[in-house]
Amino acid sequence: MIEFLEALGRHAFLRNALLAGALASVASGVVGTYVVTRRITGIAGSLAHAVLGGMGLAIWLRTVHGWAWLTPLHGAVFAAVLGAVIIGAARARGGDREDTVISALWAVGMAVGVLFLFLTPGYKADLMTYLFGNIVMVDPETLRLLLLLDGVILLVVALFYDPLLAVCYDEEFARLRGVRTDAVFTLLLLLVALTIVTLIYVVGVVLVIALISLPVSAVGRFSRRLWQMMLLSAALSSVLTTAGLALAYAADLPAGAVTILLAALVYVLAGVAAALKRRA
Amino acid sequence: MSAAPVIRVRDLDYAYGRQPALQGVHFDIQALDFVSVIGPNGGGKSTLLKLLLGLLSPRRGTVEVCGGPPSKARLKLGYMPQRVELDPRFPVTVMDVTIMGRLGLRPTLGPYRRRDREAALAALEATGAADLCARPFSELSGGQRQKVLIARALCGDPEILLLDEPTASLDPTVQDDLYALLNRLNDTRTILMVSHDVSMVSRYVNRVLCVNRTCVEHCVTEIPRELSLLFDAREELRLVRHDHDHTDHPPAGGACHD
Repeated sequence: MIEFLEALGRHAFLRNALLAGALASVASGVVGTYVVTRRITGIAGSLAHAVLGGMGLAIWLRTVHGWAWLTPLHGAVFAAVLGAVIIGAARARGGDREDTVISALWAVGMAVGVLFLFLTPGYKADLMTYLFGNIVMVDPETLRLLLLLDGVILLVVALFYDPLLAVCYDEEFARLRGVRTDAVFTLLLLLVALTIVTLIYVVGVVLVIALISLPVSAVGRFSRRLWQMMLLSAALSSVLTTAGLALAYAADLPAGAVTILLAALVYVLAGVAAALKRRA
Repeated sequence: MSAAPVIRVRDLDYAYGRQPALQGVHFDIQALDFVSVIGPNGGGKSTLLKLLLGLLSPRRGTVEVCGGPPSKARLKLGYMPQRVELDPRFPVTVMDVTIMGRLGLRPTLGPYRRRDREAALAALEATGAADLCARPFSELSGGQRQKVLIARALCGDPEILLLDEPTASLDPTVQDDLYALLNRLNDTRTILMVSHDVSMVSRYVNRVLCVNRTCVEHCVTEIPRELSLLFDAREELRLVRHDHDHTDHPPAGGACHD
């Protein structure tokens, strides 16, 4: 641990990684609270993988067709927003096909991503980076992007906290009170999409899904209010990303994978603690 | 009664796919009526409620609420769904749930105002649940939850209360409390309530609609004093005639029959 603190003083990349973890935790804690309580982790997973399709397409256009202005981030944002709108429309139209659309988006997104990366010379090895991210490669520009994301999320949640809560808890009742529930739900999906895109850039697809669901579920057992759940899960996520980074540094392991396993461990322990509390 | 009805249903048909759920439903509800909607499970009671709320659109016929389409009258309605449809693990307090009834009476952006919190608290006081205000909704007993959901329906100050099985799975003393509460609320509001049991309801309601694909109104008549003595009843007894054949179609118009 002391070794890690010393290294933190020496290496800017470690400080950046730590900061990136904390900033990502704010976004994933707040948005993840909605994802978990509204039970749409499937949608989050689907959007996260649809993003790969957009990234693959952007990388292919950029490398093979010389669209130099197009970055993978553009492709990711495009795919995530498109995915959110498609799922929002599928829900608004009703019927039982919503989960089919979600699964299809998941599979098609990944397939498109793999296909275009295959067609792009010299990009094969990068798929792992997008799956697991590389938090130790974060530059100051990405940190600013994360800060912007946190700002947007907190602003939207501050303005729409009550209708968002109502739509997540009892959508039918909210609609009867004159809330435009389809619009509010699509807004929520856009927040999820935005969070996923930005976090994928920092921590990778798999860690995004882990951060958005595991710490939130762990603290969910001990939260009485939605905002408490947001605060607690953001705090727990920060602790987890920091611990994951320290552990990975000490043992020379990939930081993303270590953090995910730590999060899963805490999730299981929280479940056990809640079960013991119930029995006591 | 000469005043315009607050709810007017004419020749209403509804079907889920090809499965008819309601056929030829036809009735009026006047201001300050206390109506019980009874009928077997799957008979279309909740469907009827959803049509009145504008959550479903009729296949044929018309539904008018307060003189217009239901979707325009929503803020005049206080709706209480069956509580089984709510997620018990959602982190909300009694206040969080109750104050949802104020949505639509406030700007979309920003938090609830003090006015909203006061209205929610007043509604909780009216239903006798004010002391539960800070408790997590999931920790409440069945009766407490019903009271909170009625308070939520009330706090938007609706003209008409639409309640979907407010007394389901409650023990008899709690049911009594709840009916006494609804009876008080009926002084100023029209109430339409879906209910399983005719026996409890008949003491308070002035009209009974029996929904089983079709809709038939039953007369509620007061039993002569001498007869109620035979039942050793402490309170006034009322009789709901329930002598129509459910397999047959009702007479045209579905008016009060016997």
